[in-house]
Amino acid sequence: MSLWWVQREQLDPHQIALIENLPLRESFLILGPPGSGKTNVLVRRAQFVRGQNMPNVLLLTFTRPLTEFVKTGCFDAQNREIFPQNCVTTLESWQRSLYAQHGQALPVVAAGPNYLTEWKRALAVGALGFFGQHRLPPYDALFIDEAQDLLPEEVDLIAQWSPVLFFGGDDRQRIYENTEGLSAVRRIVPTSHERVLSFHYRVAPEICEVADRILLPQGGVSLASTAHYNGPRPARVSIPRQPLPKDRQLEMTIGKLKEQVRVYGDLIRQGDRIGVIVARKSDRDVVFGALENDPDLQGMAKIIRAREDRNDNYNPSIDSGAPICILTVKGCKGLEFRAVHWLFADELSHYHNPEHYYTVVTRAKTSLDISYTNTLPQILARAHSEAGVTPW
Amino acid sequence: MVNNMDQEYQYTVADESELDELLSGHEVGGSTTWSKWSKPSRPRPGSTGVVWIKGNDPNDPAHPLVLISHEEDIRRLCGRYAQLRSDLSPLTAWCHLLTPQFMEPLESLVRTPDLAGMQAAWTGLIVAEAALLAERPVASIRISACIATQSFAIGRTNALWARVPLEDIVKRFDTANRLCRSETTVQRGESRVAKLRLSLEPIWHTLVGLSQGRNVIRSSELEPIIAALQALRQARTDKDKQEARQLIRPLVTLVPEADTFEQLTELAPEARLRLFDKLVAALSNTPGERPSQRRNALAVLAGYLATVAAGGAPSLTLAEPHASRWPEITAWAYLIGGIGENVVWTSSFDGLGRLVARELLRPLRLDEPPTCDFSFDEANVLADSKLSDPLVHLRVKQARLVTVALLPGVNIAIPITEAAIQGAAKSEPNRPARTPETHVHDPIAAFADALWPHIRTRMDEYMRSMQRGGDYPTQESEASPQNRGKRRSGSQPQLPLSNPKKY
Repeated sequence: MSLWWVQREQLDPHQIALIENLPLRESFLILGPPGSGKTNVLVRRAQFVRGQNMPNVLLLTFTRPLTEFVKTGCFDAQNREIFPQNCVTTLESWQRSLYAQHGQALPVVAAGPNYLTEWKRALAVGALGFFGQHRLPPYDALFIDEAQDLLPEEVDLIAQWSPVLFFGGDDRQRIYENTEGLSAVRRIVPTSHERVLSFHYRVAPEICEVADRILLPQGGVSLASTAHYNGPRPARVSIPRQPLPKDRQLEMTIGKLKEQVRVYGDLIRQGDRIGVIVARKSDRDVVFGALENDPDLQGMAKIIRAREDRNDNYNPSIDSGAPICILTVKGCKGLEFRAVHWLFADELSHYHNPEHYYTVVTRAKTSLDISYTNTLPQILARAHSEAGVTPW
Repeated sequence: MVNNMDQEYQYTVADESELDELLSGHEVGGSTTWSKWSKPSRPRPGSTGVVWIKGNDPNDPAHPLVLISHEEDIRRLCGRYAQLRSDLSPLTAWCHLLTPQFMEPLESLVRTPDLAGMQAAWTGLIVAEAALLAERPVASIRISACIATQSFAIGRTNALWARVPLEDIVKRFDTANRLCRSETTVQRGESRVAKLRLSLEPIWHTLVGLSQGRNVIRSSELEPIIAALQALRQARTDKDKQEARQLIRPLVTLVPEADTFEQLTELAPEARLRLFDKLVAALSNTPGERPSQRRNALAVLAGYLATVAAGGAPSLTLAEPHASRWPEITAWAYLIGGIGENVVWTSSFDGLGRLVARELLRPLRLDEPPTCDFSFDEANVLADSKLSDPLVHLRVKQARLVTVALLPGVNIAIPITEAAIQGAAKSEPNRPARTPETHVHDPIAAFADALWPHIRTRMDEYMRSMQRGGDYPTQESEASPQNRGKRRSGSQPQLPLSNPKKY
C-alpha cells in the first residue's frame, strides 16, 4: 500500500447514512461500541445540520476532558477550524449558562455520599422552568454524547430546549452511578429511531480481546469480532507478572513514553495522544512531576481535569504541544489514546466496577500497558495473560 | 486569440526576411501542411522552421506557434529580434522555440508526458526537496516552491524528453538560476542546493532508472536499489503484506544488519524505532564524502522504515532531526511513500501532491502559446549581468518569480533579482497622473495634493517591500502558472470536517 496518496476510507456506509440520510427534524439515538465513531458521527451530523439552514446547534458532552477532546476534532491537521468549537460544551456548563442568563442562583446541595449525582439532579431540576420564560430561543438541534450517563431530569431538560435531539451512547461505558443508563433517553426517542453502529475501527483486536473478557459480549457479538481496526500493527497489551514499586512503574513508563512520542510522532501531529491513567487525583501530580523531571519528556505532559472551582486558573484545553495526557479513571471517559499506560491499577480497585475497567482498557487504540503495586485486580488478571509464558 | 480547432498547421522553412514577415503576422509562400504523416524537412542551418496557423477570415494574421532553429542559430535569432524588432522580443513569451532534435520525435503538436507509473514517487521527491530547502513543514510549502526544485526539473524533463541526460538538466537549472537571481541570493541558495544535490543525485538516477525501465543505461552501483524498489512496487501491486521482505532482499548483502526487515510486520512500533536508530547510526559510521553503495542502501532502508515505523503508519518525524545531515532519508521516505500508486489526484500532502503531479503530467501543447515567461535558451542570450537590471531585455512582468522553460514544456519557477523586480515596477504602464485639482478654497486639500506624488512613490516602495520574501518561494506566487489570472480569495472556505483517524 502506498502511503500518502490513498485516503483511508474513514467512514463506513452506516456512519455516512447516519450523518446525511436521517430526517433532519427528528430525534435519534445512536448506539455503538467504543471506537465505533459515535462522537465522530455526532460532530459531523452537527456540521451537516448547520449547513441545512439549522445553524443554532449545540453539542453537549459529559466531562471537561471529553469536551476538550471533541474540540480538538474541530480543527483539521493544519489547525484550521472546521467546526465552531464554541458549539461544543459540557452539559454542566450549558446548564450553568442557563442559570446565568435567567438571572437565577445555582442550587445548593448538601454534601453526602451521592453528592455528585444529587448536584447534577438539582442543577437540572432547577433549570426546568427556564424554557417557559421564553427568554432564549430553542436550539435547532442538540447533540448529546455519552447519553448512558444522563439522569432522567437532565434528559427532560434537554428535551425542552430542542425538538431535534441526537444522542450517542453505549450502556457498557457507563461511569456514573445512580443513572438509568439509556432508559431515560428511550422514553423520548422511539425504538424505531435507534440506530446501531455495529463495527468499530479504533481499538486493535488484541485490546478488544481483553475488553471482551472484562464485560461479556452482549448478544454474543464480541468487540473483537466487530473490530475493523486498520491502524498500527502489531498492537500490544502488556501486564507484568509481578507487582512493581511505584517508582519502578514510573521508570518503566517513562522509558516507553520516550519511544512512543518519537515513533508515533506523525500520528501525534495529526491529533493522537498518549494517555497515562491513574485512579487517584494525587497520583496525577506524582506522574506529572516524574515526567517533568525527565529532560526528554519535560513539557510534553499535561494533567487533564475539570476546573475545581471559580478560582481555579487551570486551563482545561488539550494542548497540542503536550501529547501525554495524565488523567483519572473517571476523567478518561469518552477519550481515546494511541497508547495507554494505566499505572497503580490496584489503587481504589474496590470502587471500580467492570464498566470502569472496560472503559479504561478501550481507551487504548494500539498499545496498552497496565502495572500495579500490590495485587493485580482479579478482573484484569483473568482478562489477560502474557502470550507464550508458562505460568509455572 | 487563434482558435486552432479543425485548422491545418502550416510549415515554412524561412530565411530571415521571410521570418520577419511571418513573425509580423504576414503569410509567406512556400509553406506545406504540417502533420504527423508529412513531417517537415529539417531547416537548413541559418534558416528557421516555423509552424504557423491562419484563421479562416482572410484578414486573420498568420500566427506562428513553433520556431525550429538549430542550436547554433538560436543566439543570432533571439539577439536579432531583441535588437532589431524588440516589439516581438522575447520570442519565447509568445511562441515555442525548439531545436530540430526536440521537434523531430513529435508525432503531433501535443506531447503527452509519461513517467511509467512513477509520478507519485516523483511528486513525493519534489515535495521533499521543497520542504528540505525551505526547512519548513510540508503543510506550509506552496506549489511554486515545488516547481522551483531540481527534482521537478528532472522529473518533468524525464516525463517529456526521456533522453536528455540528467547532467544537462542540472546544468541548465543552475545557469537559469544564476541568470535570474541576484548574486547574493544565488550564492546563498547555491550552497544549500549543492549540499542537497549530493544527497539527491543517486535518488534521481534511481528514479530515472525506474521511470524508464530498460531504456536507460543504469549505474551498476544503483542496480540493487532499483531492483529493491521494483520489488517493492510489485509487492504493492500484488498487495503483499510482507512488502518489506521483498524490499530487503536485493539490499541485504549491502546492509546485513537490516535482516530483521524480513520480520518487520511482526515488530511493534517501539522495536521498529530501535531498528531505525540502528540504521542511522550505521549511516553515521559509513565513511566518505560521497554516497557509497552501502550508504545509499542504508538511506533507502531508513527512509522506508520512516514510512512504516508506527506499525505500518508513517512516522516521518523520525527523519526530521537528521534532515540536515542525512536529507536523503527524508527524500527516500517521501519517494517510497508514492511507489506503486497511480491515483495522484487525492489530497496527499494536504492537497499539494495533486498540484505537483498535475504540473509533472501536464501535456506540452505546441499548438497553444507557451505558459512560461521565456525560455532558458532565449534568457541565455538576452540576460546581461552587466546591466543594472540583467533581465531588462526579457521584459519581466512578474512580481517575484519568473517561469522559465528549461526545455520545451519544462517550466520551472525562479525567484528574480531585486533589480528585475524594480525594473518590472518601473516598466509598469504609466498610470494616469492624478491631476491636482485646484482647491482654491481648501488649503489642506491643496497641501495633500502637493504631497501626493511623494507619498505615492513611498507607498509603492513599501508595498513592494511587503511582497518580497525569502530566497525560496514558499508562498504561492502570482508567477506560478497555476495562479495566473486568479485572485486569492479573502477567506478560507469552510471545509468539510476532517476524518479523525479511526485506526
